[in-house]
Amino acid sequence: MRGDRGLAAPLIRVKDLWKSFEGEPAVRGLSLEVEPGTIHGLLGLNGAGKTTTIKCIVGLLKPDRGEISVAGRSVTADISYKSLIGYLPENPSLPEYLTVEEFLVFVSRLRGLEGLRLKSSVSEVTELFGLSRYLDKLIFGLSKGLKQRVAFASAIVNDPLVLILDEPFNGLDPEAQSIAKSKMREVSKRGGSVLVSTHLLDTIERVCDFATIIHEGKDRASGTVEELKRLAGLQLSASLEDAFLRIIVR
Amino acid sequence: MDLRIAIALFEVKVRHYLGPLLRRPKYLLSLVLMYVLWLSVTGLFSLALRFSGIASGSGSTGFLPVLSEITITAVLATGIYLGIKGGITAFPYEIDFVLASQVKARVFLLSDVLFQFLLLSLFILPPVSLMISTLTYPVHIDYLIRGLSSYVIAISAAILLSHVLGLSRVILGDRGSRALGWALMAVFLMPLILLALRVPKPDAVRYHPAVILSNAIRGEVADLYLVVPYIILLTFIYVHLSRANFYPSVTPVLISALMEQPTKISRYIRFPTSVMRGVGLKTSGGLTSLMYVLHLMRVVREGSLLTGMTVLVFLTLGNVAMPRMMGLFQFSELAQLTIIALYVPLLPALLSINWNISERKNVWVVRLSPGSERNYLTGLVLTYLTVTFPFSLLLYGLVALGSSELPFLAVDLILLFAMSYFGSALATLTSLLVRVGSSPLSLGSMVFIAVPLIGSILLSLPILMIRTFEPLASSPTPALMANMLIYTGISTLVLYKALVSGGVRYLTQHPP
Repeated sequence: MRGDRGLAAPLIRVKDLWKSFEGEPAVRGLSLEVEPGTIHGLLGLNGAGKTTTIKCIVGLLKPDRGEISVAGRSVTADISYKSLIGYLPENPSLPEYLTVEEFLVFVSRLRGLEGLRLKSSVSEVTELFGLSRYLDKLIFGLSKGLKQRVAFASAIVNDPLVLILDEPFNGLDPEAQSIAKSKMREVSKRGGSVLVSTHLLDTIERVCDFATIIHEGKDRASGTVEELKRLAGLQLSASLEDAFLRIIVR
Repeated sequence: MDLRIAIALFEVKVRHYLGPLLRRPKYLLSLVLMYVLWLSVTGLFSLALRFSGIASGSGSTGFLPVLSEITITAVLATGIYLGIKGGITAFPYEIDFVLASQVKARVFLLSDVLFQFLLLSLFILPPVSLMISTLTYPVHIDYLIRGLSSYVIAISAAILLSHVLGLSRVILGDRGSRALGWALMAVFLMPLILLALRVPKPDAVRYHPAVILSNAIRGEVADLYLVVPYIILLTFIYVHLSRANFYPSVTPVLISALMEQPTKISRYIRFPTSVMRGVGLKTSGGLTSLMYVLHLMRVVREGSLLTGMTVLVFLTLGNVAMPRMMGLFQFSELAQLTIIALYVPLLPALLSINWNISERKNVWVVRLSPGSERNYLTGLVLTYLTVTFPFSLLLYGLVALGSSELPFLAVDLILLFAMSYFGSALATLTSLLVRVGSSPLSLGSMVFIAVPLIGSILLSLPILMIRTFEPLASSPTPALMANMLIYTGISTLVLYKALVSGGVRYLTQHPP
């Protein structure tokens, strides 16, 4: 599963990113590269700047400074890159007055799908996430876990080249987590990239090819799990948790 | 012990409710301003009636029975309306922490009774006292004592009614409880309906609680015993129902000061979701039509459309019918049209407040697709226009039905269209640029009403002016009609361009 590094241009490149809110810096000079065919984890404490970074990448926040490109296109200059990405926000807000099917049709239409292709994509993702029997139910009446499944399904409905996930496993049951992980692997196998922010260190260990540790808005360390352990001065048998804690207090 | 717990729950509830007001001076200031405005309007209205009574030689206290009957009916109707919406004003924190604890159901209910009594009294008793004093001075003390007693009984009954309806959900289910609520609403509004229709009151109406309480104010205190059976019956049902385990059916109604839960799909007055089931979002076609259907589905399904329409229909009818009900005067044809024209932009204004509360946060979905913000905004304005213009015609029809003086003119059609469009466009623009604060009484929320209202009046002024001049209004020349159409068309286009270009820029630059 581990991808080879440096063989192709990164699909996501963030260089010296700065972003403040009301004068309070959230991200301070962060740099990051996500290569094709890899799953890249973002690790950090609460408030480290993970969500801000992700929002800047998907174009929901405007960076104060720095460069971000997706598939070689600058996100501030050319928004056409958005048709290549799938995005799952942390705590996604969904239009609760729509049924599951209506919402997926809506997102698919926004993603440029139409007609038969749209129908087959919607039916594929609903089947994948076990949503078929909820298609005509209003999102309002769904449980938190089912809403998260719907949101995940909407992130992959356009078969994205770059999948950006912010805490994707929130509220997902083990079955849905396993489906989500296999979908992430599928995207990377096809030569795409997955950038995933999570607090679950074992997920990073099991699923991610690379990880970047963010602390106080800066990238503290980046590499494979083994490299991170080495950087922390630990043996390979040590846990990623120990390595993470050592790196952030350095 | 139980009483102490109930009072502690009540204290926390009040502090939680008023929290945003106390923490932010501008919210407190806007609440005070609204309250002063509320008192001033009541005071000035009462003063106008007093002078009108003096001028006509009919005396001023003559208005009191009708006014008190109307207001007491309104108080009771408010209780029923709250009951239809759930009755028990639970906050999310109460559901998570109080209802999940061993606090007894009746203790929780008592804290809510105290809370509702405090709020309703604050909004009802001072203006009512002002109204009674103004109309009955210098013999106001007696009237005031009797009046306050009647209104306190009415407020208590309204709270009991609201709780009974909320508790009835355990037995009757959501639909049954709502049906019961609307049936009760019809019965309680009966005196008002009869007054408005000028139908002679049947004898049975004197046993209506609002009529009994209103009669008591003007001195028929002995009649108060007639209200006792109602109170006993209501209390009996209340006590009986409060034994049931109602906790599972309680859902959060309020968040903070006068702010209701934004997720209100299951409990608001709304069209049935089946109304829009057939429409669906098409899998192909233009993005603007997709957005248009999306917004239409939203306003229909979440309830903001029907709620807004209901409120405005009642306001319009009340405004037109009240002077007639009191035997004062009837509005002229032009005044009636002006009232309709003023209420028309309020519909998109109310819808845009709701957009801000419940839909703004979903815009992230649209912002991930390049270029679709433009379609989103166009769809939003078209939706507002589609519901507002027919609604303006409905209001017009309703008012015309009750008045032989309101002929339907071509100028009226243009005026109503212009008010609908300008209101829709300005409401959309306002909802983008201004965020509703944590209280609808924030200054931001007032802007939501003021901008579409004042803006559409100003933009429609040329047409409104023509409407005031006879015979121009009733038989406009073709050239005048063409000028009005050109003016409306050009201003529609200019406003649309400004809205879309400014709106798209704003949407792309500001986080949702």
